[in-house]
Amino acid sequence: MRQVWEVLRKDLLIEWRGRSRSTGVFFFAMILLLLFSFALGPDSQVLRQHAGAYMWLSLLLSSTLALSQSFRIEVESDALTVLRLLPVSPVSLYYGKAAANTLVLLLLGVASGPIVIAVFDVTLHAPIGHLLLLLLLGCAGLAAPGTLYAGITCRAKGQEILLPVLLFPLIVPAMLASVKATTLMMNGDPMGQGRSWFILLLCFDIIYWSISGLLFAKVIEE
Amino acid sequence: MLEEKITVAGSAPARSAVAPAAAREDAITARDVSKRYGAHWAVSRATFRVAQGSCFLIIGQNGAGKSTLLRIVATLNRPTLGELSYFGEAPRHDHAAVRHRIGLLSPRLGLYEDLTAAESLLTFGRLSTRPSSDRIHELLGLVGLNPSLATPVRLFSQGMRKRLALACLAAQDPDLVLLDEPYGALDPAGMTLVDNMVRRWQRQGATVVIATHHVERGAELADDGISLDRGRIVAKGSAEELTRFAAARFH
Repeated sequence: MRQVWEVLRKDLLIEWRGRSRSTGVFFFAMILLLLFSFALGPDSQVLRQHAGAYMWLSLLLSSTLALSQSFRIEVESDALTVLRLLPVSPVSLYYGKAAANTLVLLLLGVASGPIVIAVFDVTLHAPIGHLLLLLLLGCAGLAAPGTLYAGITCRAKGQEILLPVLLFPLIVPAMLASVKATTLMMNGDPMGQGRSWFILLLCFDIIYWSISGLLFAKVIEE
Repeated sequence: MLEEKITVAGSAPARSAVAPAAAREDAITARDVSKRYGAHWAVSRATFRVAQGSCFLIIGQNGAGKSTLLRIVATLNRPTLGELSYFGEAPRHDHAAVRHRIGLLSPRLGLYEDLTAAESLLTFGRLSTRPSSDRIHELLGLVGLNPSLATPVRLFSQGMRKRLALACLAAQDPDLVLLDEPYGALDPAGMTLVDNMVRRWQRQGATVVIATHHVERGAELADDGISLDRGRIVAKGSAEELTRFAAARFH
């Protein structure tokens, strides 16, 4: 756990120091939200209905930038070589990086919340804590396979193309559950379906985090 | 083509300082180590031994395979053929135990641009030996970077980066130190610092392998070594013999 914490701390410190990069990702997410709202038109009923879907879509597209960035820093400086020689288990390295990526995406999700509310004319029908928990689970579902695939593609040519091509099909179930649960929170949940989507998302998170952690050792080796 | 081979033939290392090391297990034993990338053999049938506590020199021109060989020795790249053993043991699948005894100074140094000098040392240190803040200051002082401890690495010159990378390497307390072109981008004072660091590691009992173009400088420190040419070992012997070989071959 100590090693996971040290890797997490390192990644968050680097993220904080290089916050101009994160700011760029945030503005990219904001622009996507605005474009989606323009595409839907001025009908506030339609905007409200699709707010959850477009919020997650903008997070998903922005996440590929944030995820690939987290490994590009390691590879460009060759720090990954140093890390591989340190007594840090690949599992700790993976969970540290995945946790850092989850927090970065969560921050991005929280920061885009007010924009979603303003642009898509959303009224929350659930406590804010539930939405934050859903955001955390959704971001964890994105970050777990995203960190693994960013590790796979970081040394490949055309990383920017490869990462979404590999990642997007894999996270369809988690995205579907996140979108459904968010939409129910934003538009009301008279049939009480939100809980089922929540549990489904949690199950996929557990699967992603377990399998990706096991596979990561193979990924960072030659 | 000059195919001279200076064989060590069981001779003792040139410097008597490492004589006691000869009685111990070799730090590295490489047998027919080869590495192929596509159709190109970057390293071909490299066989050599490095005595524990000694300083071993690898020389050769650009593209000779020095860095590839060092990365194989560091367990970062798997050899296509051949095998390596470390401190008397040959790890076949799990390199973790031996890998953590190895420290590598790679040409790209492995530093994070956004961290300060002190943070870099703390980060790498905490992930290995958990050095105290006194030790961090001692190491930064050792490489002459104490005044720059709060400066981000991105503002460092190439020479300062190399000094910091040496301090990070020292913080790991490795038993086997691999230095890939340690003299590159350094001024004379920086080169002397590298020499001092190598001597310091040797005093602490570590084994040092240096891959460099600076043959004469490296030979001042080394006990013995090899010369590579297009992935093949074309000479092996004492540091003095290697210097003579390099003078005849490269000048």
